[in-house]
Amino acid sequence: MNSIKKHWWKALAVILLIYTIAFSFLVPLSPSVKSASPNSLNLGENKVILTGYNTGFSSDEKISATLEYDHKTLVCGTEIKQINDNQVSVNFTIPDSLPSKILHLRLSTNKFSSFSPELIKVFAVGINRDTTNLCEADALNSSAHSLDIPNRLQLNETIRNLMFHVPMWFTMMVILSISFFYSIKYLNTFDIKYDIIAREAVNIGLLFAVLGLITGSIWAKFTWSEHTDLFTTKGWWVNDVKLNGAAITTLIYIAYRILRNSLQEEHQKAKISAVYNIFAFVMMIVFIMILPRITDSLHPGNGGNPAFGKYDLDSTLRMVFYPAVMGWILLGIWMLSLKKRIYNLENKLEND
Amino acid sequence: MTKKITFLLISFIALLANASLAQDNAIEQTFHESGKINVVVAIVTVIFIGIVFYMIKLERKISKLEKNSDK
Repeated sequence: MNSIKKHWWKALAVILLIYTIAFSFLVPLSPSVKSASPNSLNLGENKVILTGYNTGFSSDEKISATLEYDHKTLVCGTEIKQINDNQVSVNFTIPDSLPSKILHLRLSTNKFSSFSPELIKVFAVGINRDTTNLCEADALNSSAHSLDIPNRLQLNETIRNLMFHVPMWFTMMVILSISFFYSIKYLNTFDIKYDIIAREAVNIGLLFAVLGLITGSIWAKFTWSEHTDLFTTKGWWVNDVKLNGAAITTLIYIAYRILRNSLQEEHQKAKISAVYNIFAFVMMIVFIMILPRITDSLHPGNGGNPAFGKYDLDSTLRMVFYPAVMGWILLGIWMLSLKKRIYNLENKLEND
Repeated sequence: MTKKITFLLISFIALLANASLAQDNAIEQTFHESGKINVVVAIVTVIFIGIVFYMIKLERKISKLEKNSDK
């Protein structure tokens, strides 16, 4: 009974992390259109091949493809033929005049309805501002919404990293807050055991920071760096405020370790590093919480908008993201408590 | 030990900043296939390696304690 009272949160951490890993690897991505080729059309008949992801087209299925603008259906696709599981070919007949030269392409089946991420351009067409429905698409009842993860533009499956990369930073911030708290406590009491907790918390925080940097770098390399029209780099590091801020934070805390190692006398070491730690924590808040919100950042929820905006996370992702963050934070605290117990033992042995 | 780790960390960050190292090769190609699922695998592996690294450090400290308590 006593052990349950003492260790329940560790069991909770394990359960949450198992749930996170199972959820993030088993739940499929929602079916959606990924590309249309060609994506610029001329007057008259155009044959367009639509490629989807996880769509699972079948020959007996009803598929409708339409070109839309301002919520009005302008061109309905005809002769929709299934090529394979993820590809269909459609014929679009472009009339002489349309309200816009840039249109949205929507593909609907009984299972889903999705817009193509790229816009469709139409050449040599007259502009007629009247926006009315020019054609009527077959009404398709999309069946009940099944459990799936949203499929976003260049993210694809890597959206699952949300449950691994992002919690690293949340954990780092919680662990460094613990360190900050114990540094203040040390300066109030001059009890060396608080200083040891602060030091170990910085070590664990650094581990999570480095993991966050490496995982973020890999993720950015295969998503952000790909769109070369937006970013000139194709490398492992994108010049983003939040990335640079996180790197500087890591360096600040590495400097904390160097500072500690350079001092000899125990209490002098503890005092100076506690004061440094308080400044380092403030700098971390500035570099990862404040600066990225002032300027534009590639990270969602930055550049003026608060994090957890309603456009960034959908309800399925929330179901797993919050438990994931909790699980990783509990794991970090567990790691910290192990380190603390080892140092308590060490002290005991030295005093005997 | 700590100095070595710190050195490795700093050199890793320096390496990251050096974008010119990046080149499209066969291994990188596999990351773009099948909806980039391999990127997720790589990231989970990195985190797992990080946790194992922590375990090794912990084990070293415990062995030191064991040695001291035997005296």
